[in-house]
Amino acid sequence: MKEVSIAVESGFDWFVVGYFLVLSTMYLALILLASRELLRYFRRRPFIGHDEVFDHPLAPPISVIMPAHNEEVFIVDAARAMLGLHYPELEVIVVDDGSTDATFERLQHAFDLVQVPLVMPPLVPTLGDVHSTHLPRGHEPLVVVRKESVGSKADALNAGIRAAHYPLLCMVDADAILDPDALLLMARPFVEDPHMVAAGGSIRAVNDSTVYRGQLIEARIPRRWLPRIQVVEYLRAFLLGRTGWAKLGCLLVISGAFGVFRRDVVIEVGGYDADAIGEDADLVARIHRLLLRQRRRYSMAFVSEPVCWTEVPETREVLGRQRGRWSQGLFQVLWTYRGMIFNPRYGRIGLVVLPYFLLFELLGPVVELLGLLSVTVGLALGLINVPFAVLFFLVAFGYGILLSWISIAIEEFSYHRYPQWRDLAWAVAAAVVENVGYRQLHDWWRIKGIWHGARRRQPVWGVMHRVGFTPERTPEAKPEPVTPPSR
Amino acid sequence: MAGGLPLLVIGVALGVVLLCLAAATVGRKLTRTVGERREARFTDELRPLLTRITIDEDPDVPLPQLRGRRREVFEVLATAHLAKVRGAGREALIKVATSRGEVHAAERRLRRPGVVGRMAAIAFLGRVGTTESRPALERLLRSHDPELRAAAVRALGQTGDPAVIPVLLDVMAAGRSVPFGVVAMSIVRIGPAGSTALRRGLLHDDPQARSLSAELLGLHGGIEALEPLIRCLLDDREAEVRIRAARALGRLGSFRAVPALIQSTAEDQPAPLRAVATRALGEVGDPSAVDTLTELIGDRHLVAGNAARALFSCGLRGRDVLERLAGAEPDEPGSPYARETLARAALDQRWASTPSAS
Repeated sequence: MKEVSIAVESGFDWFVVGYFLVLSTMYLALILLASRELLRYFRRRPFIGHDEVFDHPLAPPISVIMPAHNEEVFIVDAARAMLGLHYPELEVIVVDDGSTDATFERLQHAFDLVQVPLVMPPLVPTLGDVHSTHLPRGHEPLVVVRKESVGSKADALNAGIRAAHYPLLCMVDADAILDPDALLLMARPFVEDPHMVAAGGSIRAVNDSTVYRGQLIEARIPRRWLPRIQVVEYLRAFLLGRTGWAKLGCLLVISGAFGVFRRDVVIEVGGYDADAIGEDADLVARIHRLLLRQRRRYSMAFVSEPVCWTEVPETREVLGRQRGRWSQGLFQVLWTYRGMIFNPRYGRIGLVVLPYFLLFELLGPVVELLGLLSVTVGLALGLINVPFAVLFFLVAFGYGILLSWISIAIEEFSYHRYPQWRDLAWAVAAAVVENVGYRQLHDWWRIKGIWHGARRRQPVWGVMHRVGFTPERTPEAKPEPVTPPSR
Repeated sequence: MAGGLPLLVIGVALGVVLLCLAAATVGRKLTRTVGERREARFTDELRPLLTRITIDEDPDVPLPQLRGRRREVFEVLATAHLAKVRGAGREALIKVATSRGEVHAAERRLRRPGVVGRMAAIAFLGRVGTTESRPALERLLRSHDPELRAAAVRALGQTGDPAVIPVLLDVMAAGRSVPFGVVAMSIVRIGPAGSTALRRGLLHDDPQARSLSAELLGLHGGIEALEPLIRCLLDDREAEVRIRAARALGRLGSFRAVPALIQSTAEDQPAPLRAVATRALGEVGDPSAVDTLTELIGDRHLVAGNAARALFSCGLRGRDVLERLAGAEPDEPGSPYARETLARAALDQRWASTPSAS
């Protein structure tokens, strides 16, 4: 009996070790690919005509769509920051998604809004009724759409799409802080490549960084461990992971916090799905499906330059809910587009990306926690020997630390947005600490998300206490928006 | 299950890799800090001298020895200065760069393998803009590296010489091509001097070259571009070229284009062309288009929206139509668009003359 137990235990543990090895090696390959691309871009950056788009008479105008639900604290500054972005021609559409606070009143007072009967053609479906549309009496290119909330960010975005006039749509969260040149950088791929349909921007954590009047002055590594670890996570997964996927032509997620899309393509796929939990990934998957089915030539880009900064959760509860929702959203996307998985008709998206997300992103936390449990129990019962346990931890955590350190090194070699030595030290430490406790908790939140996804449960939003930025600290506790925070 | 020695090897290897990584990161941070300080020192030293050369128009301002990093900083600063100054100040700076052998050095660097160095040299030569550098820059249009090709296209545009336009139009159709947007920006820099070459570009074999020529003639073409653009709008076999010709005719704003634009709004024409032609009719603002626009305001969204704005730009007759429609039942075709246009116009008269870019 004992022999059988040892054989089963040993077989499973070797499977987990192999799984980690494959997962981490795939990630290493992505990171190395991304690093080559990033360093190449970084060295050439002074000579690739960054300022060109601003002077470009053919630069495509952009409609910036900003959904807002109970954002009275930030909304006026956010709208002003968007209106102040460097771009030759843009309009900012704020969709007040059934706010119950003074979001609209603040806007009305700040911009002297007047109700105007704008035509909002039913180009994409919306569930919540549009109550009214407003323009400022001044000359700011601002449109405010007031609509009934149905508890869906996607529905608010669809209302914004209906009100938009310009060929490019920029979807941005109301609490995101954009670099002044963000739109210029994001529009560049569309100017250069006529087949470009979507571009995602790099998202970074802004906690404890210095922000003045809606602009990032100095990036800092947060003081608390939870956001600090997320900085490293964002570097590894969002900056390098997505740069690598984009280089392979396999981008599946364009963050809802900041992404630019071609309006005609978004309309063609029917806009956002109001029922989708991960509406950003759902839209991108739908675009892939349509264009691949029709065998149309297209491309999607990822702009690695750090252009969008967002406050990440500082407490376990909020972070747990956020990560649970992300997992639930991923489950829903994989379920909705299951017909594309392993389907050669959908090329690399069907044969590489979706299987990767299924086998490693979705099932990864299950395998990891089971493996950890199995090794611990096996060690306690004497079913496995100590060297094997060490090997397991080396592969699972040592490799993980290596990937994080490579990410930090690449950031240091390229954008170098954290100038202080102290920040580098904290980031290096966070990459190690991440593996003790945080990673296991994270797996647990993700497993709960998968479970909720399988049971088709509505995600829980709760309340997010925003801490604010240094030195513009905003002490107010603010309800977490009904619209999901971005990935 | 796992032997002690292989495990030790794996552990040590991982540790060594992590240590190397940490050392490389710290080393990079150190060298960057030192390098940035050095660069700042050279910049502080050279910038006032270059400013003196351009402001005093004096090529005899004494400069220190230009070697190594200082020479690179000089090149970057000179490239930035040349982008900003014109006339005698510019000539003085070019004279200094030439006499110091910087122009020849940059030309030599075009043949070296390092892409970044070549890109810096291309940017510098583009700003200097001498005709002697042109063949070398044109050779780079055949480079394997797309960014090097794009840099060469930019530099050729910066020379301001209209003779490069045919070369730039050809490069879009070449096997190793350069994106439309990059070529467009490069030719835009040449300005109205390129109008003759762009008119010839309307007859190019490549539809992209014809599209770009049409689009840019709308910006710099002048009255002599009207007839070629009208022919292009009516006769070109590519819808994209016709759309851009319609947009260009709208920008030029001549009433002579109205019949061709009206013809392009017919129902059997491609939908994007109809929308752009409708908008162009508004930009021309000729009252003879009012009847056509009145019909178009009942059309699909994009055409209808543009038609409403166009009617507003067509004088009193157009506004009368809008007011009649605005007072009609909400389900009357065009009525919501008329109401929106008049409400926007009441808010800001200038808005109505800036039609949507969609």
